[in-house]
Parts: sequence; C-alpha cells; structure tokens
Amino acid sequence: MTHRAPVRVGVDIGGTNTDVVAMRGDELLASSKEPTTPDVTDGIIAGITRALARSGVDVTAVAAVMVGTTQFTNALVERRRLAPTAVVRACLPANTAIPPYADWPTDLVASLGGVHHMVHGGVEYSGRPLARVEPSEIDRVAADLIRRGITSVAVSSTFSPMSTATEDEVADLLEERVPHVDITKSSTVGRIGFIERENSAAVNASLRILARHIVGSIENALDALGFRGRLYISQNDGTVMSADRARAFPILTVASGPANSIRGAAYLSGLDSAVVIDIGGTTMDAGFLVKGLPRQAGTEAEIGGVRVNYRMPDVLSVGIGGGSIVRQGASGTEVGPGSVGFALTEQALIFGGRVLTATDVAVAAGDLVLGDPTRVAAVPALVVTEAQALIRAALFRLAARMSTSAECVPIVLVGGGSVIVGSDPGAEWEFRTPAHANVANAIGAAMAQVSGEVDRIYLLDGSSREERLLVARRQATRLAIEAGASTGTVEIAEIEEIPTHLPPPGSGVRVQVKAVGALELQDMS
Amino acid sequence: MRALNAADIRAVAEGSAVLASGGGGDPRLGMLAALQALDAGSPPSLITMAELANDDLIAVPFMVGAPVAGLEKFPYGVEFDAALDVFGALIGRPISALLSAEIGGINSVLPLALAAKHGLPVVDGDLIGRAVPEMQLTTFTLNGMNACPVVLADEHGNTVTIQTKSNADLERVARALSIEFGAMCVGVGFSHQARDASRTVVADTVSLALDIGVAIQQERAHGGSPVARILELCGGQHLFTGKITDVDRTIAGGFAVGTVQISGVDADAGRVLSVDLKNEYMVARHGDTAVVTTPEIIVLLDMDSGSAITSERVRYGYRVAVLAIPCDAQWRTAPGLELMGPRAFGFDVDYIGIPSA
Repeated sequence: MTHRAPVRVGVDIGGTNTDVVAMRGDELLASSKEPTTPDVTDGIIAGITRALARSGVDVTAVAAVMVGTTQFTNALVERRRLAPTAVVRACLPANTAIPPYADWPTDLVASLGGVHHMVHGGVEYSGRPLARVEPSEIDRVAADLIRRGITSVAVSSTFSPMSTATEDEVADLLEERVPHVDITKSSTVGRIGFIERENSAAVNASLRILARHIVGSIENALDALGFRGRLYISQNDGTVMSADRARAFPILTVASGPANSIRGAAYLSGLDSAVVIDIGGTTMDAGFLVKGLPRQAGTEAEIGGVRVNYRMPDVLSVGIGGGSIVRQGASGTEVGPGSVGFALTEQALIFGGRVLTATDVAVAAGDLVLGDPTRVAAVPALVVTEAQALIRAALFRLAARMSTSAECVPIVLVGGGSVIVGSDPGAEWEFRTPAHANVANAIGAAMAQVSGEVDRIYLLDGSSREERLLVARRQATRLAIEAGASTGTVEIAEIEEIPTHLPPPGSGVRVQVKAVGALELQDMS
Repeated sequence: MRALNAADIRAVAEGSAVLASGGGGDPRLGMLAALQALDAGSPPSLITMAELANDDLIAVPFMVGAPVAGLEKFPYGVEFDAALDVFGALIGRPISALLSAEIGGINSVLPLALAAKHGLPVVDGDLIGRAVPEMQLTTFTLNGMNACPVVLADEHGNTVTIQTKSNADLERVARALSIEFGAMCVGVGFSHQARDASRTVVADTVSLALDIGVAIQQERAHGGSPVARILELCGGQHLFTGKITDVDRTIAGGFAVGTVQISGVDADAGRVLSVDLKNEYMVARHGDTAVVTTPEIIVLLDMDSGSAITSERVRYGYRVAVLAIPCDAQWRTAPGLELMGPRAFGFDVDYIGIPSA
C-alpha cells in the first residue's frame, strides 16, 4: 500500500467511562475504556496511551484527536463553573413585557447572576430599523459590566436571524469599551423565536470561561503526550468543530453524545438510514439516522431547565437502562425509572448485590452470560417475562416515534445496556447489534466529518429562488471548508426551504443549508 | 371573584390550547408576560358576568398580525398602555373589566397579563368559545354588533383609531395596518356594556380552560391520560387513537393549509383518520367520509405529554388521541354556520356535528 490513511483518535468522555478508539481510515485499530477521572484529562491521557499502545501507533503519527464531552451539559445541569453573565437586549422600545431570564430555574439565574440591560436598537421583519442604537446607553452598560467584573455577555435583538446589524453594532461598541469581553450574539446560536434565541445566547455566554479552561487543558494534556496533530471537539449535529470554535460556541457540544452514538452506529452498521437506540445504565435514547447524520429536532429543546432553539439532534429518551431497578408495583412488574447506574457491578444480584436490575433479568432469561447466574435462579419466570416485555415495548414505542415514514427501517442497538433487550426481540423490526457497539460514541467522534451551516430568512424581494439557494449553498460550502473540510469532498447534506407567514402572506422564506465534507488530514507517519 | 395565581395562569395556558382547535398560536409568550405582570403587580381576578353592574363597560384586548412576527416582538407592554389610554379617552368612561377575544392561543392569556398590570378584573368567558383565524368571526358579528371603535398601537406609542362599518372591513383594515406596525401590533375594542353581554359572551370558558389545564397537569404527573377527564369537563367524543404518519402542509392565501394523516392503533388499528387544517383543525374524515367539521372543536392530544398539539407544531410521529368537543351553540345556527361552517373556509362538505357514541 503506497498511501496510508491518517490515524484518528476518538475520545468519548462519559459520566462513568472515558472511551478511546484509534482508527486508520475505516479500520478500528484498538480501543480502551478507562474510568472518567474528576480531572477528566487524566482519564483522556490514560485512555489514549492504552489505545495507542494496543494499536502499535506512536502518538506523533496521530493526525487528529476528536473529543466528545458531556462536561458542558453537566455544568449546566449541576449549575457549576458557570460564568457571571449579562444579557444586553437591544430592541427598546419593544419587548419590555418579558425580561431576560424569564421562566429560567431560579437557581440557574442565581449562578449566572441575573444581570441584564435593555437598550434601544433592533429591526422590524422587513429590515426597517425599529430604533437606533444609542452609544451613550452602551457607555452606561459597559461601565456597569466593568464595575461588576462581567466579561461573558449575550447580545440579543429583534429579527437578528434576518438582519444582524444591531447585534453587530452593539457587540462592536462593547468590545471597544469592556476589556476581555466575550460576546455571544443571539443570531449566531439560535433561530426565529426571540426568547429561546436569547436564552441560547445567554447559556453559551455562561459557558465561555469554562470552555477556555476545558479546551485548554485538553490541548495541554495532548501536548504533554507528544501529540502534533489537530484537536477537534464533537458538536451536536454529528460533526466536529475546531478547538477555537468550541471555545466560542460551547453550547454546540450539548447533546453531542447522542449525536456521536448515532454517527457511530452508522459506521458500525454500514447503514445510512436507521433508528438508533443507545441503551446505557439509566436511559434508552433513540435517535434517527438520515443520510448518515442525526436528524435534527423540529422544535425548541430544553437544557438545564431553559428553553432554547439552537439546533439539537432529535432524541427521545425513556428511563430504562441496564441498571434499571425491576420491582413489583401495584399493577405488576415495573422497570425503571430508578437505576443503580454506575453502581451496577456492586448492587446487581449477579454481582453479589441486593437489587434486581434489568441486567439481572437478561442473565436470568439466558440472554446474557455475566456475573454469577446462580444468584438469579430464584427470580420468578413471570417476573423475567414481564420485565423483558416492558423493556421491548418501551423500545418499540421509541422506534415507532422516531421513524419518519410508515415503512420500517432497521433498529441499530448500541451502548453497554443493549443486552437487556434480549437475544430474540421478535416483532416486525429488523435488528442490528454490531460489534464494538460498546464504544460506538468514540467511533462516532473519530469518524466525524466537518460541516458548514446556513440558516436564515430571506425576504422575497425580487431575487429568484435559484439565486437565493445558490448564495446559501456557496456560503455553507465555504463555511465547511473554513471548518477544515477538504475542498473536493464537500457535499450539500440538507437543503430545506420553509415558507413563513410574514406579510404579504408567505413572502418570506427560511432557508437551511448544511454542507458536510471530510476532514483534510495528513498522514503524520 | 377569584384571584388567579401563577399555577392557575399556567393551567389556563395549557387548557386554552385544547379549546383552540389547533389554532391561536402558542400561548406560552402570553403566559410568560402574565407571570411577569403577576410578579410586578397584583394577581388578576376572574369575575362572572353576574358580578358586573348592567352599565359596566367591558373591553377586549387582542393582538393582530403574523404569528411568526409575534415570536420576535411580544407587544404586551407599553403598547397596551397606549391603546388603553387612547381607547379610554375616546369612550369617555373607565373600563370595568377585560374580556378575552378567543379562548385558545395567545389571546386567551393576554387579558390576564393586562389585568395584573392595570388592576382590572377579567371576565370568565370570551367572544368565540374557541380560536378563529380572523377578527370578524366572533359573536359580535353573529349578533349584528360593531366591534368598533378599535384602537391599534405599537411599541413606539403610535396609535390608530379604526371606525369601520362592518367587522369584515375591520379585519381587512386592521390586518393591513398591522403590517405597517411591523407585522404585529395590539388592539383594544369590542367594547360593550355588561347588559349586552348575554348576547355576546361565551361564558365560563376561562375557568373551563383552567380546569382542563389542571386535569392535564395532574394526569401528566403520574403518567395517565387526560382524555376521559377532558370529555367529562367539555362533553364531546373520543374519535380516534393513532399515530401521525404524514403532515402535508403549505401556505396558501396567508393560511397554513394541509392535511394530517393518522394511522389507528389499539381499537382503531387498521383504520385511518385524516384531519384537514386551515390554521385550525377544520374537518376530520374516515376515508372520504367527513365525521365532524368546524365549528365543532377538533383536538389532537399528544398521548405522551397530554398537551394539545397546535397546528403549526403538528408533525410526523406523535401518538395522538383525536377528540371532538362541542362548540358554543350559537355557531350551530344558520348564521353561525355561514360564518364558521366548513364551506366558509372553502371545504366542499356540509357541517357535521359531533357523532354520538
């Protein structure tokens, strides 16, 4: 072989384990599973070292490391390590009835500080200015931010997905006045829907300092290993972004875990359309693979109790996983939502514990060889049958909800908990349970492509549909190449036109275009 | 008189989506404004018509414009202050109570936000008993009453006073003005004395929405289905249970128009129900046979959350219970059906009421 594909390392930092895979082209060279450490970089170093040792590849030969991490999601959920954040809403005299942070969980507002300012600015749907930005107002805002020591700022304005003029102007004025300020403009993280878009910007702003820390410490750890290639971070559309972009848009990592598992399932099964069900210790998460990428959710999503409207993978979850507790309720056997989680190897019956779990049921049914099977011999056959029926019913319900047409697509099962489904699920679905499914997320990270995305509303002001689409396609392609795609590989993965209700009726159109391409990497060996 | 707290306001928003027949838009922003006003002002109180004096003046605050613009500009602040000021000066006497234009969507929660801010009570009722796409489709028109004067206002404090001969003309003029106001503005009008209310007000709909909302929230808390409790509160029929297999939707003449296909499960397995929509859910059919039509209320209830699914959010994959809930009896009269029957919205079927069990 004259040409060798470059080596890519995929890392999935989960709540329990840090999984690492080393891949050369499409070939899985080796994998490792290490416990996630409190300072996650130790687990990353241990995992990469072990996986590379098993694959016989030197770290200097690795072209790229792709890291998927739940740390930002966890920071939001646990309200930890969030930066003091200010929202500057620039559309007075409009939108006074609902202030920033309305309907946020109060503890989350408290951890951000809840500071906000309303100033003049904004545009109408037609692009006509609603009000002029007043530099004297920005002076006052800047002085307040400096006095409070706030550098994480979200800027929002009406109709900014259609015209970014106000947000750009306010951001420029603040950058001139506030040293070291990090500004997230709402138009860069959200769509039409003011409150949810502003929320997305505020959440992103609150993660910026943490992002600098986390991405920086991963870079340092990789440097210390002798890594000379490029670092990418997984984002929630199933592609990766550069380390610099991850510093600016940490919110894009939220829900990258399900996106990676869907991408990993695509790679492992060879399918490009399927329902993917990832069963962990506590939940069963279903996503949908369409043309090799995770399908996006159509509506608003919620993170940390906040409604946001930036793109998210379409994922449905139920509280049933390998560690789910099986008990007798008023109306018979129940499975979940309680789970022993990562304590499975201590608390499950087969491991000498006292709790009957979904994993014990799989062992009792003879579907799985694990632990000490004699310890589940006394579990009544009826309980086993009922529990497995409940697990499968939940799985089929999820699959039915996720599939996009009346015809059946295959179900790909991944994740450590997928054994609980049993060896013969039956029913009308076709099942795939690929090898290496326990490291599907890390494989999904390693095999990810890069993307460029355009999502904006055009007014039908004389330009033709063809012109509009051409401009959007070119822009998406350029963004993909800027993100690191190799020029010849970029393809338009999604193109969608959605008519809006803007006057005169139906005269605006929202255009979403996503271009995806292979990362341009060089063989380092 | 009953003071409403934050939980009540959330319940009204949840329940009014059921009575909206899929229309009226997402009441969430109105709910947030009402919760905000509650924090800053006093709890809005709900009163019955009987509690008003004969000559007490009732006025209706409403929003007019493009729903998508309403997601970017939510004009329930200074805009209504301006509109109410000018309207009060025009009428020359104080307003005693506010009334919802429609129970369903944002216009059903809006008066609660204003009531908290301005210290006015809200009448337990509305002008329609469901949601409708246009302003002339109210009991005012049915009873030959003129909705004018109407004052429209924007966030700058600009106001326009409208005095049209007919309510259909009002719809046309106000719609055009709303575009100049940035595709979304507020209005105050439909004013009348309490003594005329018996002809116009569909009574008790706010408390009905509240009760429906509470039922949904309670059932959701323990994973139950609210279908039986909604039918107990509203009457009507559980038409069908199934999964949405297709949504074909386009924009035509300013309306969202399309058809939702629902494939039956459980007792309905093997059957298909289709629901035609024109902003609201208008006609439900088994095959080619219509089984219920507007003005009766057609509800698509998400079996997982228990919430009603509005027509702009309906999409493939939801498991739904389809309910038919009786509309107000005024809409079943000949003049009522002329305004709100299926033919009024361009459907080539005659009105069909709620099927008996």
